[in-house]
Amino acid sequence: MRTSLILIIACIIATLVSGCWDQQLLKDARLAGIVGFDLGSDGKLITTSSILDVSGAQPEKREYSEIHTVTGNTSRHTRDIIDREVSGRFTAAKLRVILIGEDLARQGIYPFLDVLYRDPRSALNARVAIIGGKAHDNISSKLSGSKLIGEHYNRLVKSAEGRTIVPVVDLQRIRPKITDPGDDFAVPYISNDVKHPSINGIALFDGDTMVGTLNSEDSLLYLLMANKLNKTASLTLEVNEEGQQNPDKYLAMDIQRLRRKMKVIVQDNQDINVKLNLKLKVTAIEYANDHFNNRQNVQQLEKKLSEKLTRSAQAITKKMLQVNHDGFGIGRRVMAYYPNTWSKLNWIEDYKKVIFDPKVTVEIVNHGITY
Amino acid sequence: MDNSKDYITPGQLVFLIIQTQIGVGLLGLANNVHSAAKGDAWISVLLAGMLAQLFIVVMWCLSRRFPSQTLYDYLPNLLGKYLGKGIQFFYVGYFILVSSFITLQFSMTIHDWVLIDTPRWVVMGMMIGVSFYLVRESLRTIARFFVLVFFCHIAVILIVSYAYTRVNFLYVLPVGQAGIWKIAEGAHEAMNSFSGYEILLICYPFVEGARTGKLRAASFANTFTVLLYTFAVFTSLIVFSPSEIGLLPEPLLYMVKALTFSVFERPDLYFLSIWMFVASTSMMGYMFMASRGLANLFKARSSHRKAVPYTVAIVFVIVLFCQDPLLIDVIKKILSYANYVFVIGIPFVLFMISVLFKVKETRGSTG
Repeated sequence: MRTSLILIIACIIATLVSGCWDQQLLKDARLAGIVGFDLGSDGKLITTSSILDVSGAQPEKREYSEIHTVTGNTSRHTRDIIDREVSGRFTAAKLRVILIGEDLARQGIYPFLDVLYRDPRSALNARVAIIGGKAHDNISSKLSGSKLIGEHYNRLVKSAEGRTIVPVVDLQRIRPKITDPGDDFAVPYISNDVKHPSINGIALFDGDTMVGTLNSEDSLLYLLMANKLNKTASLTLEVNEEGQQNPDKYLAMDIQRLRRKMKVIVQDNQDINVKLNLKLKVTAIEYANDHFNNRQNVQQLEKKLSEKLTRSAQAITKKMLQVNHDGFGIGRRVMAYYPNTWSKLNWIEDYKKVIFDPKVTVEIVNHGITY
Repeated sequence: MDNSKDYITPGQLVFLIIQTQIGVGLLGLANNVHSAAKGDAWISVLLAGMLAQLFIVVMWCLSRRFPSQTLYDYLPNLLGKYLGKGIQFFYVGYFILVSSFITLQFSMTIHDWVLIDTPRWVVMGMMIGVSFYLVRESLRTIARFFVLVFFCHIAVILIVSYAYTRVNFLYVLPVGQAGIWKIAEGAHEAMNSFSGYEILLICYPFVEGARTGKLRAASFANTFTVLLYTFAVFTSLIVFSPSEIGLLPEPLLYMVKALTFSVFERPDLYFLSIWMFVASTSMMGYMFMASRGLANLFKARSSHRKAVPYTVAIVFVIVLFCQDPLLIDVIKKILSYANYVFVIGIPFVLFMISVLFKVKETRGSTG
């Protein structure tokens, strides 16, 4: 008798203590899958978001994207305006992708992301990407596939991450680098093509401002130099000038393993030299000229590839210096290992004087099942 | 009055101290210490831990001279009746203030992170209610519960370790960048989070076994706390860039929030749910100390149980009236200095008096 009484009371209390002040029912919530930020006229912000809409019962369930575009002063402001348009409560808790228009990115993105960092419910693991044109046009366009627009961009970036074309970034991962004077980040750059958006390399940042881009081939090498080989990485390079057909001239390779050694040397308290040694172990996956059984041939190929990649690497570092993008965290290293030098530097100016000396060595370790 | 249920083993003492030490302070520890010691915050934490160890030794030296008495029992012996009672009163006040502060701080965190619309008094009332339920029990029951809760730390360590997928060790280099004074300042900031080992002053007579065993237990507990704190602070330091960490009041939670596992998201909510136990055990420890003191104010060597409702009521009234964040900061500041007075200052003075005037517990006279 007594136990059952306690049980009943416990049940009643349990229903009471759960409280209802903070309950957020999924049926009332409208989940945004992708949010786009664009620069409007006179510095206003245009926010576009695609909201998941599910209709129909289980067998013929269909998912729609509901697109809303509004103009406002800050990202919080636009979010409030969208909330007025949307039936139910707008929430960014399940945000997958944030697309930022290039115009806005070139002005600085941190002020617009602040709302996402400050709200405890926001998804800090949302991917960030820059789009060549307007995020608005791309989000509101109909794609040929049946995927939701947010999910489409999410997978687009995700697969590029796996192939080491773009770095793995999300909101939280870029934040330390936005605030760190001695380190910069890069995010995926998507081409301005409304019908078929594709990954077009990476956008380079200085602080929170976009300063340049690298195309997909360069971005791959950039990531290798940053020691960020993901699952796979493949490159196609020209190795013969005199082939008859195009396939004769080119060699495609998969990077199996890489060893990067980066040394920052400061001489006389001012000259900063960066020695970057990159050793790649690769598999030749496509080469019409064969001859992988000939040792001399292989060595020649390796030499050619190494030279080619070294030249590309030099071009990349040159570009990084030009646009003041410290993607390898040289400043952080100077800070860590040469604190006296760092205190005398004005990094914004002095980064340009850094001397990079990249060297790439390629070793063909595998050639598939034919010679 | 003191029956066998009030005795605990040295093993249980370890958990009693650990759980009283580790509490809500850990969440904001990295931010607090980093504000002074920058990238050397982890050294500050280690330093503070060593200082705490020193304090533990002083407390133990004092307590071993009165093997069957608590702090409240020998205070009048050493300082005279009135002064002794006065100091005892201040101790009770201090412990009550600490309990209130823990409640306030944790309810604030819960309010900011999870239950934004829930009235604060509900969260605080629930925390205090649970503590009331446990602290009424004997010391042995409390200690056993603390042993259970201890296993929460394993989950916490696992969640935090996952952050090592996105770290940059360069943030803590060069070691010693802040300079010795800044590190010491950071240690002062960290000191408050270590407090809790003063439970040794109250529990010493209730622990079975030899006196060296008790010191070993207390030291072991403190070592665990130091290691856990250092681990948490070090991880926060290498996950966040130096200027970012200054923006985050609870770096540890923020770090956890950004992680995604393939099966579940928002691990910070899981973390907070687990941490709620840990934070309340810390509060329970202080409530126990306060209740024991309160009971002893009126009747020497009486059990803490009868005083618990009054302690709880006082704490609840304090937290109801002190919800202003600026006021909480003031309390924090007061506590950070009061900590030294009550944890080391007074025990050290008592120890000196006890040695100089050769006051010791006379065997068999009491107890």
